[in-house]
Amino acid sequence: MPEISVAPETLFSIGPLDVTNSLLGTWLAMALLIVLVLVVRSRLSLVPGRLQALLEWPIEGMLNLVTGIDRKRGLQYFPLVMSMFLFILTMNWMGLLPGFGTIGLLQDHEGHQVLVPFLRAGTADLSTTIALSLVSFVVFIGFGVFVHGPLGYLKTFANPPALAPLEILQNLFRAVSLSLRLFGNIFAGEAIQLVFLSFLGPAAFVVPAVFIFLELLFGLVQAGIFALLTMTYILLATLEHGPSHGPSDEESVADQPDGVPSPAAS
Amino acid sequence: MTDLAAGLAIGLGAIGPGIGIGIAVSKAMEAIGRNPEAEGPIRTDMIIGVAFAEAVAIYALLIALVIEFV
Repeated sequence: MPEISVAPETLFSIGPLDVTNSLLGTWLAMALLIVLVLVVRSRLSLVPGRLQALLEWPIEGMLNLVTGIDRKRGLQYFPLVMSMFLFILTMNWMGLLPGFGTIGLLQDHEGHQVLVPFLRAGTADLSTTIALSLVSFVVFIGFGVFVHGPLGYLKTFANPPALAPLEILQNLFRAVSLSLRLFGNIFAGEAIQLVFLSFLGPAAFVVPAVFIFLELLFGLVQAGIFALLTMTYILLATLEHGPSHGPSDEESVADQPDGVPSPAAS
Repeated sequence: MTDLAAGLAIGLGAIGPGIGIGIAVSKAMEAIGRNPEAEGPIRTDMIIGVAFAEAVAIYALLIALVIEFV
């Protein structure tokens, strides 16, 4: 039975860089996306072919969503949000392909043989998701500083001043929860697959099939949530009345109706 | 004993988010039933809310993993 390990296994090293199986999976996802986009771009046409339509469909949907809120600013962060969505979706779905997590070398590890797979979904590695969420974190802080100015952005935290530590903590926790949510979902999916694959008899063929369908759904939803939340955080950071009045913010929902006085109103 | 702890961590930790997500989805369905034109925005907001509730279950899962493997 394949061992479930939280950390990805190192396959080989290039100098100081350890190449793990999840890194290989990430590279594969990048290569697939780059090749796909280059192929589509080389024969771009006004009447889209099948491949072009396949790529245009999600991009159009996301573009409508983003520009529906604020057209000018939406176009500024749309490329980032869209690439995050496509990249995460590709990595999530690649992890479900046959060969990911199942083909590898047997290695001795603490007395018993352990399968070290060659490939692993990029998002089933905490390092990848932390990197992605840090990008999101830096970008939404950057947007806040860009729109309000460094001092003005700091002022949006002190609204009211007594809650400033809470606001800062909440912002930090956004990065943590973004990465943990994505990693937890994808990793748990892989672990469940491995557990069901170790069943004996016909159950080994039927039960994983059901869960692969669920994993397809979760992979799509998680990619969408990551992109949507990044967008929401950017929106909250660029709001004129400070970040505590957003419609989808975790902690502000309860105190929204009372209308805490904002610096702009006073 | 560590197996029991890990099982309890994820098992108990899944109760709250399960109830929470159930409430969120049922209210969203009610809202869509009353106002079918608003289905798009309601679904987006519901997914974001569900993601926040689900994060709690993910933390429980991670604690279970830490207990089990680390």
